[in-house]
Amino acid sequence: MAKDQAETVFDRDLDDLPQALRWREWMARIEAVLFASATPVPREDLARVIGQGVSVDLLIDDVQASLVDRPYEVVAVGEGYALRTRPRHAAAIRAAAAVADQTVDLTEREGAVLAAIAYHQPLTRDGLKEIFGKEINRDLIGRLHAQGLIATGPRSPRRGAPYTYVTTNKFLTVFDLRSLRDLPDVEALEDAGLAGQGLA
Amino acid sequence: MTYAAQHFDPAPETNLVVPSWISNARAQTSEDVVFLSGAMLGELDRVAGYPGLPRPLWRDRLALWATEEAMQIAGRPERMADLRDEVHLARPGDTLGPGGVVFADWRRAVRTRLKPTRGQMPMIAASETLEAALDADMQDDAAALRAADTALARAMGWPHMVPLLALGLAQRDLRKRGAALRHACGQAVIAAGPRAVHLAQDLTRRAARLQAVAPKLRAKGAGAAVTLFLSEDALSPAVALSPIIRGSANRMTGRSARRLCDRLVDLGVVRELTGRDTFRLYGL
Repeated sequence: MAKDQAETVFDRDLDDLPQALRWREWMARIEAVLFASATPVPREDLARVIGQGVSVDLLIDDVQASLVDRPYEVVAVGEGYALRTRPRHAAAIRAAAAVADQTVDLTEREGAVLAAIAYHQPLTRDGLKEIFGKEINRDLIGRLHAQGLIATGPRSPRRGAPYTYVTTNKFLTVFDLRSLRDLPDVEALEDAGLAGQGLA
Repeated sequence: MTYAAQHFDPAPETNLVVPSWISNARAQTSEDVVFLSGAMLGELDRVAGYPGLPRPLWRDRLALWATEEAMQIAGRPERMADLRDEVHLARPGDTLGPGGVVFADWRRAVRTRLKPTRGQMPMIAASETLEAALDADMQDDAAALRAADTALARAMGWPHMVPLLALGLAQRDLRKRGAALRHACGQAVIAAGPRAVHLAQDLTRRAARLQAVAPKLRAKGAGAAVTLFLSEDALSPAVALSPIIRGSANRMTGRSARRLCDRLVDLGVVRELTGRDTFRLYGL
């Protein structure tokens, strides 16, 4: 990419525009960048297309407000933002377009293993075995890996230094979480009878 | 404080104690909190400049404590031992887990050189920064606490951030705003101060002992290793000391690194921190 070249002529600050127009232009830039990106755009990257020291959050708020009557919205994902169609249009999109490769298809078991990794990461296969009481096969881990929901984390300090598994940003996107803090509270799940002691 | 400790090394520790009129006082009104937090900051200022204190190590260890608090606030299960394993055993290029990332962020923050700000009241600067950061991103409490502790350090004129608010603030405090948040920040400094000072006293004593035995070490590169022990929370002989001692040009084989660490443990100046037979971590 001719990124460096472009940056020398790219006008971030827009000093020649009046205040209101400048703000509109920045909003448009942010929306354009989010539109063009298939993955969430980190906040620092957005900060690079607007004036120095200008608040990304304020601009995002205004972009969000300008999209109220549109079928898509700006959502915060992990450390960044993404442009996404509103959930109520899901059926229409599914009927019209082939989006099968975007959806995540998990069996019950895979879902359970993924949840265990999310709560206990970084976690090894041995750790999973302790939680589920039996061996979790490599194929299952491989399928979660292939869908981009988990990645290998640090090696565990035990015999053989096995790799641990951690969840990815895609995991956050797919389950509509801003960070791991948005995972349902384990104590609340226990109170509701949805989780056993072993999961805590 | 204790007789045995004084007997071991009388000089460096006698001054690293929070005066009882601060540590025993109970803050009741908001004036008490303002007064005592100011007194505590004065003490911390003196401690942070104490000649024998291994400052980088002190900050690194406080960063570990701060990370553990952040994990508890975020409802994550990682505790000190897990965080240490993740970060100190990681080789360059390894991905860290979510807890390790937070610890690495704290470690980077306490190593960043700061410029002092002038004319700001430290506690006000800290609580206002905290409030702004919490409003900007409700999710990332750890980043907000780092920003607040950085603002505090800069207003104090310290060259590096010292995690304090991060040690003393509870999750419910982070939902407060305005005067209530300022009050909570004051109480956090009053609560965290003695812990930080006690750690400083402990590390000063341990550092003095390590430096006393340093000339007796015959391993090549032992000097560089000692310097590293005085600046990092924990070291893995296989990662930080070999094949090259981190931050120096000295080479060391894995075997001699392990031997040096074992020797330091035998001399009673360094501790093995994990209790494991393999993947060990050593630190003061």
